[in-house]
Amino acid sequence: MSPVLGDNMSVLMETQRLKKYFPITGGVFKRRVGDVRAVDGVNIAIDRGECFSLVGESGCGKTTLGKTMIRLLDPTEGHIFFDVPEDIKNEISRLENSNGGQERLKALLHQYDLAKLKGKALRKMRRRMQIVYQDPTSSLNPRMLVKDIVGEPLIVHKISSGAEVEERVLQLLYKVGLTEDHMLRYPHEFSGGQRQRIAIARALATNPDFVVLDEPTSAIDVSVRAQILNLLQDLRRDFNLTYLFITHDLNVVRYIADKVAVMYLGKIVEMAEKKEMFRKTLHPYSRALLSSIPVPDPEAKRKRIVLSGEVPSPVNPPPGCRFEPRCPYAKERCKKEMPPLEEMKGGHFVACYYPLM
Amino acid sequence: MPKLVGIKDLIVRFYTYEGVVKALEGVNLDIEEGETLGLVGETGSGKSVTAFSIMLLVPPPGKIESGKILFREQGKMLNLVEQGEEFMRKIRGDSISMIFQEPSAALNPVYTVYDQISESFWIHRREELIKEVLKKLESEIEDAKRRRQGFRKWVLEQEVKIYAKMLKNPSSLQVRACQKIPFIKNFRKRLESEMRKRVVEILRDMEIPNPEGVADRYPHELSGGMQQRVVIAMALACSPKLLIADEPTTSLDVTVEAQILDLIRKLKREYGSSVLFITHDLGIIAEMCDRVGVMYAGNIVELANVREIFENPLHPYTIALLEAIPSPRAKRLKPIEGTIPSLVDPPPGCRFHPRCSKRMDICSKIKPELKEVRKKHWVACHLY
Repeated sequence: MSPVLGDNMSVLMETQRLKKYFPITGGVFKRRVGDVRAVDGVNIAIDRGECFSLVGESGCGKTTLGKTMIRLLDPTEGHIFFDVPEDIKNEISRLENSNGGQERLKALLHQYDLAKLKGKALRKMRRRMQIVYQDPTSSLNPRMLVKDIVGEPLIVHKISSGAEVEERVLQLLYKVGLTEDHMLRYPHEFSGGQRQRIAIARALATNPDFVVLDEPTSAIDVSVRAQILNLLQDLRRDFNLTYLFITHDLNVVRYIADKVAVMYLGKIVEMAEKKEMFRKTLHPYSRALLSSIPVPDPEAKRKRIVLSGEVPSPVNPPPGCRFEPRCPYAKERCKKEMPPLEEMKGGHFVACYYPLM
Repeated sequence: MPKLVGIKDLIVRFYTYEGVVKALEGVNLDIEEGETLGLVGETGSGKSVTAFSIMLLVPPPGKIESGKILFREQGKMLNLVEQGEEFMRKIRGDSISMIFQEPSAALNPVYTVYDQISESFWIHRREELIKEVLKKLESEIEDAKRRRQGFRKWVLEQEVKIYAKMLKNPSSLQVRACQKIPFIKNFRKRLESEMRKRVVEILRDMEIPNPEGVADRYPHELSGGMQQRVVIAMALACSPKLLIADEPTTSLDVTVEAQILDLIRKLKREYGSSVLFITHDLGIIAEMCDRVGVMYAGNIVELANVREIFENPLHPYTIALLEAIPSPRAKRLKPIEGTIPSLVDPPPGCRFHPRCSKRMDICSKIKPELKEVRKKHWVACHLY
């Protein structure tokens, strides 16, 4: 996957049946009357050094999944394994399927499952995973100087202190294409692209392994967007980073991603290598989504699949396949049963009973 | 094709505390009848200001300094800049209308969809509506006469009187008073049902499912895509000659975007309007437009057919913009170095020269004019 870490291919981040429900309360006693099923049983594995891209429409749970993975949100159910050796994961799943060894299972989960970590252990993990948000205007504190913004993670995580901090901040700023002139300025003095660079520098401050990029280029102009995308590519190589790239811009996906997962209403419907995904799309939803990218070529007379209707509410999703009400190929079975995410062939997963061959 | 809009040497400036923002510096642009003209450019390039100028709605502290905006109205080319506010109020929403970027901000949250669309009919098509109602009343009076229903006839005749007054002056004291008095105010029902018929019809044109139901909803009850359809319905209510679409799909998802773009294309055919399509997405431009104007820092730098722009771009900025689009073939993107200049203190000469890869000495001194380099291909660059 990654041209850099070809020999070192192992799973860095893995989620198992990850769920995140947001309760809806109602009535006088604020009783729980329902759930918004933002993330509903997601299994994904992200390899070291790879750029894993998550696409989908707004409200499908992309951002929630990203935030839950790095424990900015507490998962409702499921496991998150971050940099856990294969044999331990295997042991856990074996223990879960058998009845015995509950003590051992508990101890293992307590030690390795990111979803269950607390306190100091969690904080130790946090510095290994960072996030860059969509809109740098709101993710940077307008009352802090750039050097404080970028330096804060260093102090919080006790990575460096005193004069060392400034030195490290400067290093980081150079890395993202800023200079020492920018150290003593406030975020509002920068353009959108530069602000995003500051946000990226802050994310890199703790020397993370895993960075969640939550639509980092959607608030930025076309000409500057290319600069940021190039920067992200360079940083990935230089710092051996693994990205979870959340976006709805499929042109960006085509450029930067190694692997793509399409999400719909809290579930992954298709997951494959980028090339495979764009060449041979299997799920009807992914196909419609990919066909609706506007292509910058007036000659391209593409056949666009226009979906009717809109994304159903995640409060009470359709009982069967989530996509069934909008699917042009839906059959009886789709209404009743939820198709599981299954491997069709080498690394191409799809959750559909009647995939488009 | 006859010209519908002609913009000549338009200069728009904003007087802010930081200084004078030179938002538009001598923009020249024509829109022909029935065509879709795209305007592309980055944030702050002056796309939206151009659109607002056509409507004469440049928000303060902005001001149209000089230049002409010609618009064909009743067979004559009128300079909108010289027209009074009263005239513009008649034109806006009738001959020229606009779709905005953020549908949730363009709709008033305290009025129903019906209220908001019917407002457009009430303001621009009032006479037509009242005449329609009067015609119906007349036939009902005939009917009452035939059936010898004296009282019904009398009531209907009174209604005719009120409507006739309304036709003359809708804000006369009598008409307003009649709308407040119980029972008498029932006369409005005829007008309302007439408007309702039209609103439902236009909502159906927008491919909104269950238009009768949607008409009575409030904007927050609708999804983003539906809201944008309602905004488009408002814009098209009076079959405008020019529809300005200011990034109509930026806040929507790709699949919904596809629906809305298809809809705009279909409606343009049906209503025969010209469209000024503003966007920063070159993909949408390729799909929607006949001609394209590329804007940079308040100037139009290139203007040509869509095919010309994509196959044979001439201005260095256009070339760079096309190269900056991520594509699967590109090994590495070629970004445009630097950022958009501040318009308070723009670079002298060509405004693109500090970022241009092909700059010459002359570029920083003399501002290039828009020249016709090839047939119908206009470029503002010293290279040509």
